[in-house]
Amino acid sequence: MDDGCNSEGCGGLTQLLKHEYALNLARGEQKVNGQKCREGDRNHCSVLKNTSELFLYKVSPSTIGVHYGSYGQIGNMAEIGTYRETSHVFNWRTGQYAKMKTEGYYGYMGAPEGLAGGFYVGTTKVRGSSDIYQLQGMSLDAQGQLGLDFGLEAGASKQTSLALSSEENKFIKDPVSKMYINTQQTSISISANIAPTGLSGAGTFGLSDTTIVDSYQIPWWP
Amino acid sequence: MINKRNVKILISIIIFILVIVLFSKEPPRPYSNPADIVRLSELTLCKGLEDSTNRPIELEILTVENTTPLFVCGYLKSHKSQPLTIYWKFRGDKQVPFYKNRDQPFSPGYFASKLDIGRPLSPGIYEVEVHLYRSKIGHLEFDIHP
Repeated sequence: MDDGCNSEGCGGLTQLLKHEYALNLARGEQKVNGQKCREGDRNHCSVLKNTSELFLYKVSPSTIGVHYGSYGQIGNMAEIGTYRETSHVFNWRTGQYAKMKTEGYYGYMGAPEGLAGGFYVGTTKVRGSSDIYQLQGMSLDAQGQLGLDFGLEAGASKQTSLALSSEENKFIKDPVSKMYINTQQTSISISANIAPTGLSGAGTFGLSDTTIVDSYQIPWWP
Repeated sequence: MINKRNVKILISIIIFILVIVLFSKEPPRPYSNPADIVRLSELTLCKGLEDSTNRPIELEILTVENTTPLFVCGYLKSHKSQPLTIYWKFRGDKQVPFYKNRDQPFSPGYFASKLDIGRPLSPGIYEVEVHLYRSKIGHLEFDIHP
């Protein structure tokens, strides 16, 4: 990368000044890019050709799908649990399909379950992801759930997850949309537990790891 | 003694065991960070791969005239094909990529992926990034002369 020295000369300058030069060059390039794009040179325009496309990324999920899985947990009001999940998702912007497996662990605070296990099914939508392969990796999850619990429990839940980078544990932004990759799931579940409470409610917080086990690119997708 | 409560406990335990059994049938995780086991080297611009040797055809100097076709070439070291995504953009601080290659999967060994927007690229500095899932495994800058 040109740190400013190639074009300006940096003999004897401090690192700080070199950095300033580099920033000034980058800002200058940005202005030139914007100007050339407006003049009709598409090489200087971004992939998000206009603000409506960026708006689409912000307001609509780029990836949609379904999921199903099973879980088990143990404890008394403050509990720990784990789940395994399979999802089938489709990125309508790129025409990519993927089958994914997710393994997650969570902490639970809410109505006591004692010992519980169950199954769930639901819908998945992902915002901000420009490519299906951005979905593989670690995520941080938070979930809220409500249920009718008479030993056998029927419930519904909402989960939101943010993708973490592979190298360092921080939230990752998609290279194209420049948005955090946010997966939202709505599920219904059927389960059994040894501490029925009639009406139950809880929140969970945890980590999960997703792997793409199969994928397909529709070749003619625009 | 079997009463209603004990039946529930039994059901829970059975379901719990069932869940554990289901877990053990999951496929093994291939890796947590793909960049740990996949290596990308010799990333450069080229004119494609030579038919006889399957190695990149070198590019002398980049001018507006010889940017069509233009390829990004490299060597992928991996035990199986990998779904690489190649992003490229005109250099600028906040600018998002204007093109994304979706050739896939990439087989181990030398590869060439066409950088093509249907017309010659205009002069300036460009950046290419090669991603595997969420990991950036390669980066390249090139300058097109007028």
